[in-house]
Amino acid sequence: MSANIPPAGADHWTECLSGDARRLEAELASLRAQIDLCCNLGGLQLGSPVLVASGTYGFGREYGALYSPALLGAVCTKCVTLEPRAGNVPPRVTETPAGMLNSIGLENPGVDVFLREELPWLRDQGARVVVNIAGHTVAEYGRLTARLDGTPGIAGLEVNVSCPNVDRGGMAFGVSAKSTEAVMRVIRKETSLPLICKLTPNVTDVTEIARAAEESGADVLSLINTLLGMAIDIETRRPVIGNTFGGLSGPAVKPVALRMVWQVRQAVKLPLLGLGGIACAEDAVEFILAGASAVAVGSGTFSNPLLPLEVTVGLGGYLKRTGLRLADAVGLAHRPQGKEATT
Amino acid sequence: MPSIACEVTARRELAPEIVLVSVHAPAVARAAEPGQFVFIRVGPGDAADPFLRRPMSLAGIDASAGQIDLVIRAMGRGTRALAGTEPGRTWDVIGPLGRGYPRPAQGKSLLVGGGTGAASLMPLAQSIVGGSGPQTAQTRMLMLLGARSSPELWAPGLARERGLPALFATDDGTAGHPGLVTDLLRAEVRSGQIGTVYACGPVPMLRAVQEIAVGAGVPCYISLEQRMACGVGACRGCSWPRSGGSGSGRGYVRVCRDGPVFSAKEVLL
Repeated sequence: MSANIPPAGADHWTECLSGDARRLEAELASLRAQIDLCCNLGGLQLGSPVLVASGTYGFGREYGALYSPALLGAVCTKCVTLEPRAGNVPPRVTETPAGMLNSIGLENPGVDVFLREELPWLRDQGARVVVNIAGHTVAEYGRLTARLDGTPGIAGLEVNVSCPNVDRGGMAFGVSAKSTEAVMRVIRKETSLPLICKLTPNVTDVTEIARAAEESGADVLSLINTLLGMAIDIETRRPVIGNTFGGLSGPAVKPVALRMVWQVRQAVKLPLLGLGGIACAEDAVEFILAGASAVAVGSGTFSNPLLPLEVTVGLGGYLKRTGLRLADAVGLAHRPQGKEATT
Repeated sequence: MPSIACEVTARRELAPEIVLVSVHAPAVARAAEPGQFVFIRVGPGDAADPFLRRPMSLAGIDASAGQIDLVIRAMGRGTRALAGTEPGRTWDVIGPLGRGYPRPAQGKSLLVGGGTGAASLMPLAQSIVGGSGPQTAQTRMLMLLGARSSPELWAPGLARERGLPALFATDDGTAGHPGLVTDLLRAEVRSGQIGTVYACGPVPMLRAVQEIAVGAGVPCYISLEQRMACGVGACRGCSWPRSGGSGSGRGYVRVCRDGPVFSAKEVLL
């Protein structure tokens, strides 16, 4: 798939942000000397609780020109499938109030190209890599997992059972407890890597799917994936997105994401990776207090490429200011009313 | 938020709803090449809304003054806010982004611009003409500029200011050649030794330019516009179908990073 792609533009754009990037790196180094940002996310040993969300960071090369991906808790890669996928018909993105819709359609070069051309680069950068995986059928998830298992440089897998952009696949699995279980079981059989199941919010009861994932081998649950939505162009009088529907992300979805993290925290024992509309460190703190052990920055990176570093530094600053240990802050908002936070 | 603050130094109306904005952005001006674009944040840095940056092609690049020019048409809420920015205010500007126009081949270059698409051709025209006088300039390059109607025809005025030879056309015949800008292209291609054709504008215009240039066996480069999210090649939101092959096997290019300039043969119009 990468054949015939013309040479891409140079990375001069990173120069206008390099001063800020170096300042954030220095602040992060200084914080690390004072507080512990490490976290154990269901067997994933991470140097930071701030990750980047799948689909918003590619395979790391573009933003890697600005700062080292090794500074992130982990990189959740762009979704990888067994075969290359061309993706959906454009337009694929459009802005909405405090957010955006996307319908990329899992465009990716396939697992073989990923292993040959993308993973080695991320590994060389010292990044922790969580490979986001999807398939058309239960068996395909199994074959893809078998192909990835045992490859050096893969810290864990994130299972996309919830992508709303593909006609067959994602949607069908993630909205039913039974098919979520079927996918997770076949993957669990093929690997001992930490498994993250990424939950879709487009369900009646997210806790039902969360329990199914917990019972079928997930080590971590990540939530939320995008909310299914649409936009219509009143001049052409047609849907804006080529595939009619798109996944809503950005600050508009944060209250929904936070509510679901809260609910799932009460329903399962698994550690949670919270994401959905994080645009600043305070948003990340809210997710942790709601019950997330770690967070991921998603489409906020598009308007501010340094957001993952800013959130890391800001979260570290919050822990320093409050004297809270990261592990003690997780789920703290669930304590009975009237009971003060212990520090 | 990043501390990039680029001052808007000048702003003037070129046509109703269309302004030329000058921005002090030394790092961008130093590195930029014709055909590249910048990615501008609308509103204060920490605002959640509007959520995405706006891609704007460079209508002027002055490395020594550290200045870039942009032609902004107030269309949606983002571009309206940008177009209304008073000098003295600052913008958060990332760039230069993307792949610009390749150098011209031997022979005269024709630069075909429709609507605001003409903006990205201005720095290219200046780089081809260089410091040469009007006589030599004519032999190297000619801009062909089109708009729907005379009030919207802002580009010839700017070309004149910058000493760039240009012909123009309006769809409704209110100024210049009555008809399509591609009529002018057809006539020019017939009449002389054309080295390279460059084009930026609406897709139907690009399609016609592509047909004429390919028919004449002249290398042709076009600049595309597409809705973008990340602007740097990470999200694959601005994909555009490649030419050749069929169905999904054909695949897509990224307008933001593989483009916005493509060889006319590379993409499906």
